[in-house]
Parts: sequence; C-alpha cells; structure tokens
Amino acid sequence: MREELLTIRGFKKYFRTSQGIVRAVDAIDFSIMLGETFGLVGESGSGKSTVAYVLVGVYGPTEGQLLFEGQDIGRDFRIRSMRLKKDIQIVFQDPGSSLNPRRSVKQIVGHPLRMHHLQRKKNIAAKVAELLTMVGLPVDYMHKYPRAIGGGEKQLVAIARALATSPSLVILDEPTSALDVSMQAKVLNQLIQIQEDLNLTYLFITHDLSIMRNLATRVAIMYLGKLEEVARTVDFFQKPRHPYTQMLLSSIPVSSEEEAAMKPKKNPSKGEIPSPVNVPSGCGFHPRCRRKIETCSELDPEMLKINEEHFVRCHLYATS
Amino acid sequence: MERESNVHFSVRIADTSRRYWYRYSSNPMSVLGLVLFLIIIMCALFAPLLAPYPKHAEAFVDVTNINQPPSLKHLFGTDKIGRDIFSRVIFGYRFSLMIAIMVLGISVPFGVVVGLIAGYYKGRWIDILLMRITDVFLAVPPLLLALMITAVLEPNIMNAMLAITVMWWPLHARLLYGVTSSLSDEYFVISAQVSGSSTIHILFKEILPNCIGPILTKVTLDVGWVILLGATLSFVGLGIQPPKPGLGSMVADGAKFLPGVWWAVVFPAFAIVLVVLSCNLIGDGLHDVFAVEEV
Amino acid sequence: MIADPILEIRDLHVGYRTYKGFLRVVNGVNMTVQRAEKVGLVGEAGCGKTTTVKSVGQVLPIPPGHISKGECFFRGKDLLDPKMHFARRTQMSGLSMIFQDPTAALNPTFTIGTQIVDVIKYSRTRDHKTPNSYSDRDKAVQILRDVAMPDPARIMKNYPIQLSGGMRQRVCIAISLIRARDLLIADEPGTSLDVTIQDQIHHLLQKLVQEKGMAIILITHSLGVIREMVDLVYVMYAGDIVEAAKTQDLFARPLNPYTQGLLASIPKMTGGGIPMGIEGRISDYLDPPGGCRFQPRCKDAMPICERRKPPLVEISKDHWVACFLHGGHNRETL
Repeated sequence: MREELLTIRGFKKYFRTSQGIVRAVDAIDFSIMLGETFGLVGESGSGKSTVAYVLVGVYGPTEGQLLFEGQDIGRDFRIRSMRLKKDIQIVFQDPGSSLNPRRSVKQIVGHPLRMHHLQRKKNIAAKVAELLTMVGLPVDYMHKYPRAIGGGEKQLVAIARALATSPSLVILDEPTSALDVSMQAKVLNQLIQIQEDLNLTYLFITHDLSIMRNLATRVAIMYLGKLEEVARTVDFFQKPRHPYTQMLLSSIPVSSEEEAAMKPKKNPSKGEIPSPVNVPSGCGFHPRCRRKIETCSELDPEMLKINEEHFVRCHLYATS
Repeated sequence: MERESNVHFSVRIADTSRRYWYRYSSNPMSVLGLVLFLIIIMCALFAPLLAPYPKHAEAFVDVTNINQPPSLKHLFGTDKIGRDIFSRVIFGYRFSLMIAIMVLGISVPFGVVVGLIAGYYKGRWIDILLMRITDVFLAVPPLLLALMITAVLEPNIMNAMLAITVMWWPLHARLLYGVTSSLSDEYFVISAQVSGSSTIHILFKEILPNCIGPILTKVTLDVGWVILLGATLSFVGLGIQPPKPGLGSMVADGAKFLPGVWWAVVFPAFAIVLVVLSCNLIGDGLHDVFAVEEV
Repeated sequence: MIADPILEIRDLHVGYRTYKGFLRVVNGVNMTVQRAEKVGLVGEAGCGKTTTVKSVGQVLPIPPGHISKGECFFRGKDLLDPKMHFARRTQMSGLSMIFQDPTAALNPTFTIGTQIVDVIKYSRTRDHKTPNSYSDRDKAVQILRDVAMPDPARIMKNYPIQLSGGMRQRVCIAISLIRARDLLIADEPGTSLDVTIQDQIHHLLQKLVQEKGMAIILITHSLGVIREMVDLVYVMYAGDIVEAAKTQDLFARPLNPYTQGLLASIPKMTGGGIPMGIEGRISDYLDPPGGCRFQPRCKDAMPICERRKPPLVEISKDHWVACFLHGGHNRETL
C-alpha cells in the first residue's frame, strides 16, 4: 500500500460575494499517493482551481482537514511555515502572467533560492543553470526576459521556478492549456522526465481529457464544487459511470477514428453550468442530466463505491 | 559569469531603447515636443551663459529703457523698469523647472508609496484609511489649497512649492492605487506571495517595476501642470517674489500696460504655453510607447 | 473549379512593420471557399492564420500590418483593391467575422438588445417598408432564437457581464448573422469556452450553415475540431499553406511532414502515452528560411527544400500538398 502524501477530508471553501455565497468547493474527500500523478478534471465553476489555490496557500479553507505528510496545512500563505512553502509548489495556467515581465529568468528562478536561503549568492547562477537544464532550456536563457521567449518556454521557466525549492508535491493548474500541440508535447514530456528523476508527486489539473488519459494514474472529476467520480485512469475512460463524465467525454473533439469509436455517444452536451451562487437543489447536475430520475432534484447523492478504486456520486448506482 | 551579465545587460538596454524610440518617433509631434523641451532645459541649465543680460534677472533698474519694444538689442523688449525680458524669460525657465523638480521629487515618491500600499491591501483598513485621506486632499480645489497655504504662511517660493507638493501627491497615489490593485491579481504576484516573499519585495521588486510606464507618462505631463500652477501663484503674487523673474509675475506686471506694451505680456505668456505644450507632447508620446501591445 | 467560389484568396503576402524590421508573416497564401462549404484553417499559434483572415475581413491594424501583395475575391470583387476603397462596405455585406473572445467583442456598457438592434439599423437587411424600433427589436429576438438562446426576450435586457461565456458567443454569432449571408469567418470561436459549451457552439454553427446556405471558414489550432466540423481543410505553417484536402483524406493520408508531425503530436484518448512533438521552433519571420519554411525542422529535408519554396500541387482529387517529396520540382514557385 503506497503512502498517502496528501489526504483531504470534508474540505469546503465558500466565498462571500455581493450576489450571495459561492460554494466553490463543497465537501470533498480524496487522497494523493506518494509518486503518483493525480488528475483533477472539471470545467469552469467546478472548483478545481480553488482546490489548487487552497493547497498552495492562496486562501485558507472554510472547513475540513487538509493533511500533508500527516500535518494539517489548512492555512493561508500569511501564516504558513516557510518549510511548507518549499514543499508544495504550483505552476499556473497562464504563462503570460505567471512571469514578471520586468524580471529576468535568472531573477525569477533564483528568487526562491535566495528567499529560502538555499544557495549562497555566488552559487545562484550555477543552480539556476542546473534548473534550466533540468527543464530542457538552454542555459543562456538565464539572461532573457519573458517578452523574448515563447509561451511553452515560459511555462518551462515557471516549472524551473517551482522545482527550485525541491518540493515534494507539485500542483499543475492547466499548465499546457494555452500552448500549441507541439509545445504541449514538449512540456508534458519534460514533466514526465522530471517526475521520474526527482520522484515527485503531481496534482495535475486540466479540462483536456486526452492529456489526462496519458499522464494521470487516477482521475477525479468535479462539478459545481463537488466530486462526482474518481477512478483509475483506464476505468475512467473505458467505463465512465457518471452522466457528467459521459457528457464530457462525448463532447471532446477527437482527431482519429479509434477515439471517436471510444466516445460515449449517447450523451451530447446540453445546457449550461449554473451560476455557483445558485446551485440547483439535490444533485447539482440534474438540470442537464439526460438520465435523471425523481430523487435527483430532491436529494444530493452520496459517494458510492463501485469497486476497489472506482467511486461515483450518482443516484443511478445506489442499491436500494 | 559577471562579464556575461554585463554584455547581456548592454544588449538589452540597446534593444529596449531602439524599441521605445521606434514607437516614440512614429509621431512627429512627440519628437517636436522633445526638441522643444530640450531647448527649455538648455535655457534652464545654462541661463547665465545664454541670457544676453544676466544681471537683469536680479535687482536692476534702468529708467532710460522703460517699456522698449522688441529690437535687436532687446529681443523681447524691456519691462516697466527697463529689464530685458528675453533674459528674464530664460531665467524664468530656470526657476520654473526648479520648482517642478523639487515638487515632483517629493510628491511623486510619496504618492507612489501611498498608492502601492493602498492598492496592494485593497479592501483592508489601511486601504480605506489611506485612500480617504487622499480623497480629502483631492476634494479641495487645487488652486484654492495652494492659495490658502501660501496666504497663511509667508508668500515666497519655498511655500509655493510646499503648497503644490501637498496637493500633488494624491494624484500619484490614485494612479498607483489603480495600477497596483489590478497587478495584484496577476499570477506572478500570487506566485511571489505563496512562495513566501516579503511584502517589501513584492511591492518594490515585483509590482513597482511594472508601473514605470504610467508613472513616467504622468510625471512628464505633471511638469507642465506644476509649472503652470507655479506661474498662477506668482501671477497673484504668492509665488516667486520680485525681483526674481517668475513667468507668471512677469505676465501680471505687464498686464497693467496692455494693449500698448504688449511684449511684456505676450512673451512670458508664450513661454509658459511653450513649456506646457512640450510637456504634453512628450507625455502623449510616452503614452504611445508604453501603451502599445507588442506584435 | 466548379461553380464560382464565394471567396478566393490569391497569392496573399502580409507582414508587420516593427522596430526590428519587417516581419514577413503570410507568405503567398492561396485559398478557395465554395458556396455553403465548411472550410477549416488549421495551424499553430503564430502561423499567420489570424493575420490572413483579418486581411480578408478588412480588420488588420494597418500600421503595423501591411498587405504587400495579393488579391482577395469575395463574390467576384477584389476586397484588397485600393481603388475600391469606398465601395468596400457594399462589397463586404454578406461577410462577417466572429472572434475567440466574445467578452471583448461586446460593449460592456450597452444591453444585448441595444447592440443587436444597432447593427440591424445600420445593415441593409432592415425592414425598409416600415423601419421602426419595434420591427428591429422583433428581428433581434428572432435571430437570438436562431442561435438557440434560451429566453431571448429577457436576454435582450441583459448586459454582457450578466451572461456566461457560451451565451456571449451566441450573441456574437447572432450579430454576425445579421450581415453574413454568404460567408462567416470564425476565428477560434470555442477556444475560450468550456469543452461542453464549445461542442454546443460548433453544432450551432453547423446547423446554421445547413439552414442558411452560408459558407464558413473555421480557424482553429485543434485538429479534433477540424475533423468533426469541416469538409475541406487548409493546413498552415509559418505563413504558407502546406497541405489542403478533404477532411477524411487529410486524416487518412497526411502527406506533408508538418501535417504528419502535427497529427502525431496529439495525445490520444485511447492511450499510447504523450507523443514526442516536433523538433525545433517556428522560424523567425524577420529572416525566414529562403525555401520551404519548415525545412529546418523537417527530418526528410532535401537540398532543394532550402533553395526553393515548394508550390502547392494537386496530388489526387481535392488533395494538394506543398512539399518537394511529392513533386513540384518543375513548377514555378507561386
């Protein structure tokens, strides 16, 4: 049995806004094992990015336990220990804004080293060079500024920055969504290599299921702040149970016949994601669900176990 | 390693200068503004050398030469006590620019810091406190505030500068407040926060360098406005005191003799127009430089 | 060619003037769109596809943009002819564009109703018999229904910020339908939206093409979207059309090395790991390679590829390739 690096129990994050309470994350439980790549899928309003932000400390949770290496880390960055800030790192979605346009790559990647006193001043350049090589960038990129390098390379710099503190958990929030297919392939391959070399654990967040299929060990899908299905990757794609999972899989444009054959055909996309201030009663997905039954609009389903590693939250699978 | 960094540094500066100049010079009016302003700076710096009658800028009277029209001897004519207006205008530029530098040199850093802090902590008590104080200063009409201060204290150039400084910093605070609060949502700032950077680092090394564009644009426009305000104060007798040459007080002196002795008013007034115009043109040009999206 | 095409681009060269020099982006593009045809233009970021269509749609920012050469015939009239400047508005009615970011395309300070009615008022499709605000509003509600907008009457009173991304994009499509009868150019219409909503938008576009007999140029970087949406595909790389074919042919038999590389770089939902991608980077537009622009990255490059640009040659019915591996040695470079 592999060791659990991160355990989340009953985690909630609510925001108070002028329109009402936004239940960004509404009581979720999952664990990430050491060394695995845990995939989190969801569209806008699902809460997946909020999970990432709370884990890394942008906000504190409203409720729930977040256990990292056995310790509760549910605090925001102002109160967190410096050690924790080294151990959990994040790579953001938008390469354009995740690097300060007025700072050089050396300053950007070297900053965490200086801040955590990981290197003496004269060794920083050498360590930055090492990190750049690790992400597959030429060493002389150190002197470049973000405006001179392309989107994919900016993401590689962001990854190098994340690796500077030798973290154990790296959260990747849609790292390749803004990139082209060929750049995406390069960045993803680099990430796989680095994970092997440094024995890292990844929380990989994306809406791109074809990447998920080839990168993640387990996949979880979120909708309106709740976890709908969790399974091993192969099961998730070959035997998706939740109607939302099926809807998502059938909406993805694919570029080959074999993939088209694999897609669940019976559930084309319907309706829009409701506003998170106005969550529907019962199961949040019921207004868009083609397979809904009577209880769906009244009662919120519980997470049910299909088999050892496959969980679904849907009334269709409840045994009476 | 050290030398490599220096090489890259100079290459980068050269590249950036080319890029900025390309954008700036695409508008001929901006270039004109720059040329005019450089001439004015020359006047200010080398006033004793450029003015044909440097002594006329101080206590000097020549009753034989009162109110002479423009001639080869006196390009802009002479004023009511016989002083050469051309020389006095050149020295007037020196005083005007001096006021602008001192006023902006104090009010801009102060306003920037206030705006940075308030914008970064947007929504918290410090933001509310700082911005409401800023609002109070902005609510008073600028000229009225300046008049009040100089009327209460002794009317002289130092107090005029103090008055203008006091009412100038809120404008920069407001500018920085806007820029900082929008920059605070950028991922590179969030990244710095969650990795544990100190607030000082974030404010001055992450956010402030990205504000240089708007600040610089505003400062160039401000030079013109501050000079105009200083001239207004000296026009009503509250700024530069006689016998020192203030462009505004020169206009006031000559106004009594209009329309006959027109040169005593027109040339100093035109000098004010010229400096404000050139600052505005430069400000516009800088706006183009910093506001354009890269292809 | 069969019937007269609705759009024909001939040898288009477009570039940008910058402080570093002149970026020669679009490098001799030829494209033909038939009536009621669904054409896809696929390529990666920076390949010039947006520049190409912006030149067609007359929305290229002229400095720094610069059209050096080329013609673009829409319904037989050349849109790029400098002499036709004032007649352009008439020429262009029937052509419309929608963009990637619907939020930026709508004015946040006016209601949806005001914005749609505004376009109706100044378009030539107004009800000239009784032009009044009531018939304009009715027409606006009708086109909102055409784009499957739920509760159109209520949407008319909303501001853009109150709508979701998918609904905003529907509004943009609705507005473009007022003028577009013949050709709609859609530049990455679903990219900023969720996948499920993107799917709906694409199906909406397909339905509109069928109902209105409208041709569409769909620009995207996603080959999956191309495969599911269009009949004819143009593949673009660094300002050149490198391959053009009917959709099934392109996916069954991609001939150009870039097309092959692109298809191979896409991770598959059926598994197979993360592909390797294509070596190298897109070349600099300031000083592009003399011959084929893909040559520096091509593993099958031959000496001729460096010297001459491969012309677009018809290999089989409705399948053109620009690559010396498939002939073209004796043809004049276009």
